Amino acid sequence: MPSTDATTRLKNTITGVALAVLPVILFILALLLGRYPIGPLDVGRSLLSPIFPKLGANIPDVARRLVLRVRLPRALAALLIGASYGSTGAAFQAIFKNPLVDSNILGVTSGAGFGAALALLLMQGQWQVQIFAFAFGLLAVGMAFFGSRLYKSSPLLVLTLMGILVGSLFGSLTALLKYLADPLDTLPAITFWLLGSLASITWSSLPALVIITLLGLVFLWLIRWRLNVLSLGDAEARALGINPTRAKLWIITTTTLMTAAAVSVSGVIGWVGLVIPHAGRLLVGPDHKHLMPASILLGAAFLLLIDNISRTLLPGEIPLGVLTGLVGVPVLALLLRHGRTGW
Amino acid sequence: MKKNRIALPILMLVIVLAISACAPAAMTPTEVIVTEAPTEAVTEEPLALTEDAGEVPFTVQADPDLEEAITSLYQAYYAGESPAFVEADPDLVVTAVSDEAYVPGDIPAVFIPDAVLIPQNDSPDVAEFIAFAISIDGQQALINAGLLPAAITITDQAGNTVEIAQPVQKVISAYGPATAMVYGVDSEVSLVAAAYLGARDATGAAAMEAIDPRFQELSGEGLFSQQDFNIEETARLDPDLIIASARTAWLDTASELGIPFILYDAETPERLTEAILMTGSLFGPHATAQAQAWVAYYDWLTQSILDQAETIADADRPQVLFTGTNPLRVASGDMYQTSLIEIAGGVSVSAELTGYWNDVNLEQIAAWDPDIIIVPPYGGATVEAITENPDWQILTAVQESRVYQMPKMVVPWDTPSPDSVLGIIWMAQTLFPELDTPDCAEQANFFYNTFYNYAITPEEIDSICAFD
Amino acid sequence: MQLQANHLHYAYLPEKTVLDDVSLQIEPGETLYILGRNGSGKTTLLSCLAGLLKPASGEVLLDGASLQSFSPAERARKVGLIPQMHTPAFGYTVNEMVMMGRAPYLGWLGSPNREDQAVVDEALAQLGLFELRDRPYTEISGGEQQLTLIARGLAQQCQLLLMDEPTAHLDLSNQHRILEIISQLTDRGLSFIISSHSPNNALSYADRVLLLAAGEVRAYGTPQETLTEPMLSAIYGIRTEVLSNNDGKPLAVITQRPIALDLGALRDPQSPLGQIFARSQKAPQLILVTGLSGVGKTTWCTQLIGLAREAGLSVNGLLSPSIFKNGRKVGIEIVDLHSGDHHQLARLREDNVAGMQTPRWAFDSKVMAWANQTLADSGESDLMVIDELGPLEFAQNKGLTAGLARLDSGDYKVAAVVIRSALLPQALTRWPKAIIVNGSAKTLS
Repeated sequence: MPSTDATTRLKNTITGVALAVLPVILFILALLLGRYPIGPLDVGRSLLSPIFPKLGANIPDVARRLVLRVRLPRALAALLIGASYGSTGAAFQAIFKNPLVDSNILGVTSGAGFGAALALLLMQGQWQVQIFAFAFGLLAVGMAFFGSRLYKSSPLLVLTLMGILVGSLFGSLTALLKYLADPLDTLPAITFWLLGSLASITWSSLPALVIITLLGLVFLWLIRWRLNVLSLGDAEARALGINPTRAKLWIITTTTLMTAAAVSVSGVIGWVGLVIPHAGRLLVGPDHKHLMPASILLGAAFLLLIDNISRTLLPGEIPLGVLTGLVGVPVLALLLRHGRTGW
Repeated sequence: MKKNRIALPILMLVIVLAISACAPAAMTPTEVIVTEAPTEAVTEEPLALTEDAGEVPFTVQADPDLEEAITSLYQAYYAGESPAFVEADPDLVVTAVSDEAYVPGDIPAVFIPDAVLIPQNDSPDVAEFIAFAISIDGQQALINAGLLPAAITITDQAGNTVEIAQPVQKVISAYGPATAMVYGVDSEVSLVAAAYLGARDATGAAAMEAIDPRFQELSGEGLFSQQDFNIEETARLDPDLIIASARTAWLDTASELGIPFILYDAETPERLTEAILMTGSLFGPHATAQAQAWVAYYDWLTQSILDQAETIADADRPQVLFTGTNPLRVASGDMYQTSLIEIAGGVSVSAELTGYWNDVNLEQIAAWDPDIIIVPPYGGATVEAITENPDWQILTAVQESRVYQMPKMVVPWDTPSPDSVLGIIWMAQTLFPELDTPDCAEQANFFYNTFYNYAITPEEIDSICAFD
Repeated sequence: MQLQANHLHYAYLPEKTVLDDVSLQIEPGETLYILGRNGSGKTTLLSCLAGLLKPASGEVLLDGASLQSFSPAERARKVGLIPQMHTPAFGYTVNEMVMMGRAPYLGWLGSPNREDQAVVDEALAQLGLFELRDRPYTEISGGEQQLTLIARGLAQQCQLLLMDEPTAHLDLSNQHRILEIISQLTDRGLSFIISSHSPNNALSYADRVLLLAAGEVRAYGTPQETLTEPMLSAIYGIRTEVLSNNDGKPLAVITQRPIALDLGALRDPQSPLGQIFARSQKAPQLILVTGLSGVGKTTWCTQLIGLAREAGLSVNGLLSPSIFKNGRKVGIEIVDLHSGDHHQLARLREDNVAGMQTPRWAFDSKVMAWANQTLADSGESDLMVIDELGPLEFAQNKGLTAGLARLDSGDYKVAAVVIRSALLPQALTRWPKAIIVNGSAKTLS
């Protein structure tokens, strides 16, 4: 690795270690904190009780079940979804050569939001909402992608434009659904879903999310260095022997699946995919070899942090969309002051 | 019957005191500026005296100060004929409202404030005359005779003072709970378009249809909502009055039409009572009386429950959680549902929350650990969504199967509407099964017959009031 | 490794041909310069040679094998393209930028390892960039950025590097540095194809030069063979002069400005004007009288005609004096210099804006036809004046076509043709040996 002097190397190591440790600490905090008072020892015993049943014998059943069935899946979801947003944001910023995009540039979040609203309007039921959200998220990106193929010139610009068009199309359709919805029950449900929340996550919400996110993260981690080359542009990427169209296709597909899975479980959480890669760049630089793991870890840590606040500060849940800005902006400001210069 | 005759005068005295505190303006007819005294002809066909020449349809015994009023009505109804006054053994008694302690019963036929028509036998002529007297046409006749005000001034619940010409023949109700109140004061005949609460689903719609066959025609689907308003449709219907929620978004536009409107903002029991009385006062003396009867009924009920619940110590009061369309949405302390719980003698666990519906997580619910969970009858909420969810088994209420659904006929009983009295009754029975609180079935029967003029069937009562 | 391009033909749109039958060849250790005007197809040619664009017909061969037969990665290991400099979206360090040159050697899922770093270190060291390796690419100088891109090409470890205008934004010192390094690299067996705007650089560094004009190969050979005055004039549309040393080796190309002729020295056989007339006995001499509109080209011609007649020379052709009214030019006359006949050729169009320097004229087609006929019929004379040839003639091939024909065929002794400066490149491309003269009335002595 390029090494300059010892102090820089030391700083880099410390940064790396801190980044790796941060999500772990927040994950543990997520298990320890909650509105229902459970002591740390009890938490530990609850966690081990599936393997060592005797440990779980003396803990009140409510506490044990809360730790295993409510806190644990929710913390895992926050971890995975945060990592998902961070990594997909970084990948999209690379292939669009634009530090101002996140994975919603192609409309997946808007499509998923529409799908969820449609499901909430037509029927009730957790898993229908998830499936509709997922399906429409993919549909939106598909529309943007195939729409852009109609125009041969400046493919990146056209792709961005199609993504914006598709996103606003689904945004308008969602507004239509909100208009048709019964203001007493369906509308508040739609609004809450669109604000993003991990409140109703249980183990049953997780299987698809876990599989898709882990596979996606592995893929993005493996191709992370290629993102450097792709971020130079199609012409140079081709000159360096990469097929940018195929690479982008794979990346867009993966990120879309990951984002759609995340949105279908937790609703729309904005801001994370846009800002986390920036924070990562300020800490470790733009080389995706380091940036991708940094984005994954930072994204996971960030979402764990705000979810912890969201569910413990007040008796009612604070929507995640409210906290992402309130917590994220000061953190980013701090990083801008002390981080590396230049993007 | 006998009980009513004694109860009514006492009831009327109580009500007079209540009314004079609430709506003084309505009691000074001569001081009100008469804008347009509607001179519409009485639509009812005057009955020809076809029976036998010389025979009157029925005889009347009236208090001296009421003779003029009854004469005007009679003349209006029987085309210029004067009533046959007698001193004894009349078919119809016209007298002042009496003062009695309230007991639930039939509502008196009040045709002028403080005065009531009491039939002495089952004569159909008497019955028809009474129906005329308390109808809009009767009100019109009395206005023509100068015995009732041609316009009234009301202060609505948004604090606006509005002048409304009487009688109100065509009203649009853009607010579901307000529509329910219009039915509750027996004035639904004046509705030309209305928003209905709880009639969007098939069973609710069918029930509403049974109550009022005009329901389908009246429910201006898409015409009105809190957000939106079709100004041209409204103009076409030519209403005398619009009633709406104070939180309606389109008030400015509607005011362009020059139609008076009355705003509702009733989220607490006190405000609800105000709203119902206000509704009654809009539609004439009979509606006013009906509203007052509701208030008396409500007071009687809450007192009965309170008497019973007093025996329970504070610490033993049941902890109740009222959830919303989603099990993790709960009612805040500011909402009507919390008031219901407290009146019924319970404690709302989510009272510390503010605002409208709040979202919480399962852990918070576990921390509250309610004894009873109540699920609303709208938005697709079901008891099974909670009881069959494995994660919710950690709660006491679920383990002891004390998860219930608030009933509804059309209007959900937990919304601020006349029907919510039944919500209180039901809740008291649910919270305190061992106490002798008023019985849901009995009171549901009384309520729907009296306030909706609907003969509710035993099957319907069973399906609503059944307890698991 | 040898690269051969045969009869390449490329068009972005069916009607817009960018490359037309281009062939070239380069051997290991050679430097080939591609010169041409903006839009002549240089970048497209480089893209075709790198395999990024597929030509409509023709092929590119590497050591005999078609370029298309290689996978993109294999191709990138043989041929590297260093595009025009641009600002990347993110601030990668020099080391990270150069590391990207290792892309053809890493699979889809690979990351650079120590060996890759070693190759990058070596490339950096060779170009003197090692100390800069942790600086952001966006914060180093233009020259260092260009060197970084070359280092990336070295890290690619390919035999042939294609460079698109590598010295475009560099100062003299950086230009020199880059070109020297390239030259040294060729000593090691690398070959370079460089597109450039500088004939001088080509003179100094190229082994062979290919001159492109409108997608066609106009010349292909050594710098001596290709960078001649007529060829450069034809390609660039300006007068150039090639300075050579005593052994005839060309050293530099300089561009010539329009000369100011001293009309009064007409009779002096040593003066430039006199020499022109002297030479006209053997070969036709074409003088292009140029300048912005309204500078006095016609006046200059009038004076030349007067002086020539005084000297006893015969004059024919056409002159276009202006018609003035109240000090404003309201029309153009045309005069047959042989017979003296004159007619009004043009008048002001109604829709003109007052005070315009170059107003629009309505031409009388009958008069134009007459003028054209006059030109065709006039016989030989010592001096032929054509005032003027404009867009009508050059772009639409209408108007004084007889004049064009005579000039193309060399049917004159001395011709003085008035041309506005915007049309000079076209004129020079057509008549590369023309002498350009500043037709400003102020230069008259």
